[in-house]
Amino acid sequence: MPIPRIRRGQEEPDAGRFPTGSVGTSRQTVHYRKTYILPTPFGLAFALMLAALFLGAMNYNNNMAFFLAFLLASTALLSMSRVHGNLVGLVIHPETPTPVFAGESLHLAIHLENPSSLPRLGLVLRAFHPNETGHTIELPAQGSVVLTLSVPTRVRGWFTPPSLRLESRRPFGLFVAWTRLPPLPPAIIYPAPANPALPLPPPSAGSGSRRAEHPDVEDFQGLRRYRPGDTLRHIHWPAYARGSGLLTKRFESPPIETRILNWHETPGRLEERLSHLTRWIMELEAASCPYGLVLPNLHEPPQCNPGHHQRCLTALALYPEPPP
Amino acid sequence: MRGTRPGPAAHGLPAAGSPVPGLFITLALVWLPLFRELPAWMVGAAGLMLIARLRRPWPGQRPSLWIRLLLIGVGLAFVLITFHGLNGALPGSALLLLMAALKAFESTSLRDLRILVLIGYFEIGADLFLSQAPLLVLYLAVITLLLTALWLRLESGREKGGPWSAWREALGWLIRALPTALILFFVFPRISGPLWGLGPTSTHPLGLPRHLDPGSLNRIVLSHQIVFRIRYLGPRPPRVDRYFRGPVFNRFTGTTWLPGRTAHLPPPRTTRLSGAAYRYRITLEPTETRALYALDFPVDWSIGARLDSLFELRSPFPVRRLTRYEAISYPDLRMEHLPEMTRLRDLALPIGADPRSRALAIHWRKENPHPRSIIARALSYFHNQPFYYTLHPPLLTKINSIDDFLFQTRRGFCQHYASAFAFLMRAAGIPARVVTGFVGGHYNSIGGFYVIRESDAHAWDEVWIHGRGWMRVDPTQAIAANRVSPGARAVLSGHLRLAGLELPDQGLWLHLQTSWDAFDALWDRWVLGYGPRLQARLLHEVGFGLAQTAEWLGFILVALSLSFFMNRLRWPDRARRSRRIEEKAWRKLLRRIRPWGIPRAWEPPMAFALRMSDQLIADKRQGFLALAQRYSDLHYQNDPPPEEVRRFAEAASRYDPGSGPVRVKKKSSAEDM
Repeated sequence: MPIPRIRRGQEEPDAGRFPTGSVGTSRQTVHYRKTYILPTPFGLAFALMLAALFLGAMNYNNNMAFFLAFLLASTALLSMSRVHGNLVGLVIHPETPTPVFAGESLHLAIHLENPSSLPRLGLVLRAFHPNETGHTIELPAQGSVVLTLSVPTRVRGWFTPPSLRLESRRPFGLFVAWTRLPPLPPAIIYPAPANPALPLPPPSAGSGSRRAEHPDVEDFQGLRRYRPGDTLRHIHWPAYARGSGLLTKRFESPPIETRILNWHETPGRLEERLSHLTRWIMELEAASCPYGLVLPNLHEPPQCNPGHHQRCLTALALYPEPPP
Repeated sequence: MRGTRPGPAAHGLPAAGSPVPGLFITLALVWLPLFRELPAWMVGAAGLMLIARLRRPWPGQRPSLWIRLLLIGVGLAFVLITFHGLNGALPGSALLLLMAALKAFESTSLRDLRILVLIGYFEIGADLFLSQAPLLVLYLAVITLLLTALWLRLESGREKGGPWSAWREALGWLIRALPTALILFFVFPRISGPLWGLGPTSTHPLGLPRHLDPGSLNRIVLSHQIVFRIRYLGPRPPRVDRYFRGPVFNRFTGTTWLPGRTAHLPPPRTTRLSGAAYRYRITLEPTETRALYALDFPVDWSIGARLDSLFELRSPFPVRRLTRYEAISYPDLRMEHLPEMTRLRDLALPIGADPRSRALAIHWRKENPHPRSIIARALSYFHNQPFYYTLHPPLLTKINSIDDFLFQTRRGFCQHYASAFAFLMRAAGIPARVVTGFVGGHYNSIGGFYVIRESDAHAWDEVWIHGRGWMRVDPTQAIAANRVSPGARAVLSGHLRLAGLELPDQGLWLHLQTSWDAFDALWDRWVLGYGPRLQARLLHEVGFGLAQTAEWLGFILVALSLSFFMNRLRWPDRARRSRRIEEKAWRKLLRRIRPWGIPRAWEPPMAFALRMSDQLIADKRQGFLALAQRYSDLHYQNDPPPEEVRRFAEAASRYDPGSGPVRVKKKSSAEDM
């Protein structure tokens, strides 16, 4: 299997490479001029069988065999235009692929809408580099569906999804019609998380000390109306006793340890270091602990939110390789 | 093969709902018309292989290559031994059967099953090579539909809809393919004639045998296959002259009559035409032999054939397709001279055989040497002695078989009597020979022709009478009518008709038979007979030149574009059909409330229902309006759920509009307008 093309240590690939409007995720209609059709090997075998039947009919002057041959040939012709009709006029709308970790499969998804009253049979996504085929799906009249295809990834960095084609062989499998889908926008592949994990670096000085001294004290922020789901422990009972209804005490979330994940403190070579950092980020994100990231070319202050998480992972994914 | 890369079906079809058993059953049905022709071991082996495959769990391993090669080799060897070669439709079909069974046995992937589908289609064609009888064609049309439905299921990889949805889909495809197929059928240029040797198409060729053993006509007289049809162009000969001449036998070995060695000689020249002449047209089914049948005695014919010294009409090549020819015959042909060679040959008997019969014949001759008197003696001997006509005669001894028949068993059918009679005549010094052929025929009042079936086969004698020539004598007719066995009466049509033993007509059955025969003739003439000649005529009459390349190319282009147009036609889809259900129920309800209807303007159903409800008594109005509301909801829904549609239809049919509509005066209904 050929290794997918990878771009590493670059800026995002030049958007000008693709003609505007055809790249990525705009909605498009499959045009008949961009729909191609060829017989499948099975179709060729069928043609061979028909030829044999025809020769036999000629040899025996057998009209019914002639008719059978013509009937089958005519069915094949019909199916040819049907196969073509499976694709023409479909509205396609590719989705921006979600980033994955290296070694995982990248899920490419294409929204398909069928604006016509003709059911579309046997739709399938196929990639050639790497050679992958998705599931076959039938799209009823006026229906819509998401077709997916998983392609394996190996290395971190920018990943240009393989060029995809949408194809159909139904109803009889004699012909294959296909159309090339516009190239998908490149996806970011994060470094693979290290396995086994190193212990997390200790919390940075001062961040967890208060918690150690007053483990039960939390910052009281004020009161608000009770909402179902609030714990009974936080209900302000004195207020309730005064008859002002159920109020809930609000607290600042407890100050947890803040950690700085430092590139310089990780062992090993470049890729190993990135893997360890990724693993830590994953763990801290799962535990909702704030963390900062220090790379030779980047300093992210400690934070804990999805945007931060994504920024850090992207920075790791695109970390430039050292010059050879 | 990447192109046939299996879809979801590849890595394991579900055990239930898998098309595999259905495909195997269909393949068995495809070969069913051949089972009678194929050796039993072959059918059994193929069946076993299919069952063995079905007993194996689905993603089974392929049997090892060596086992497969061994099975192929053994199968090929057996076919070669059984049929002495591979040329021809029958050995081809046998080989195809074995190969299909092997393919089915080792099938593990979608690709294997697809190959089976291809083999199935081809074998349907091979069935047709052997026979194109209308009923078989109908049967094979159903099989084609079945195979196409299974193919569709195979390709879709899963079962969707009910079991009939694939049938419906397949039927839709074939019906839409029909117009293009018909155009191609009529205009696609035909090349006539066999491209290569045909080989045997059947183990039982139609028509009469080449040797006459006691019992060799047995199979034929029990068969109801049509051999030829005849239409008289002009007067019909009297019934006693409707003898159609086939192979003639003039050499007797003691048990078997063989065809004459002098058959290649031209007919005797010294003939005199006299009496009435009859013109007729015969449509002969493919018989695989060179014999052409003609009324006694043919003198002119419209086909490339020659008449030999025994007055047999012979085609230069075996009749392999429906053949039509006209001929003229003189039943009362006179011949004046019998060459000495022929005379000696037609008197020859095996030395020393059958002494009692010889003695009897010589005794007759001594009493009255006149040939006609000897013939009369022999016929009255058959009539007066207890000779019986039966289709199941006892076996005769190998030596002295004529003695055995004439004095011991005295049971037999036409061929026994003809053989014994010829022997007696030769022994009495009268040149004699055995003629086989057909007699009579069933008249088809719809088609205006006679049908001659294999069961009309007959054997009779010809004796040489000096001054008159060869004279036909039919000794079978001499048997007393009460000595015909009931079984023979039921079966025989042609044999005994001349003796006045015909069964009474059987009303409806006969009528059906007649209609069917007429249909069969039309089928043969116009469907199966369509060939290069008819095609040229048809195109010419439609106004096109003969086989102009540009013209037939144009036709084919029309056919192709037609196929694209046909693709737009589809069955009405399910949603539309269920919509019709609620609409039908609603209209039915309206008709019950007021059978003659209320004129309806362009208005929504609810507005109409409000107007309509005025016709109802007050306490029924509410229920009606509720139904109208439900109908309106369903009717304007994009995709009404089928079970709700059904419930609405039930409720509508249950609704009782009460004691009947309020009488409305004509005036008020006129106001509605």
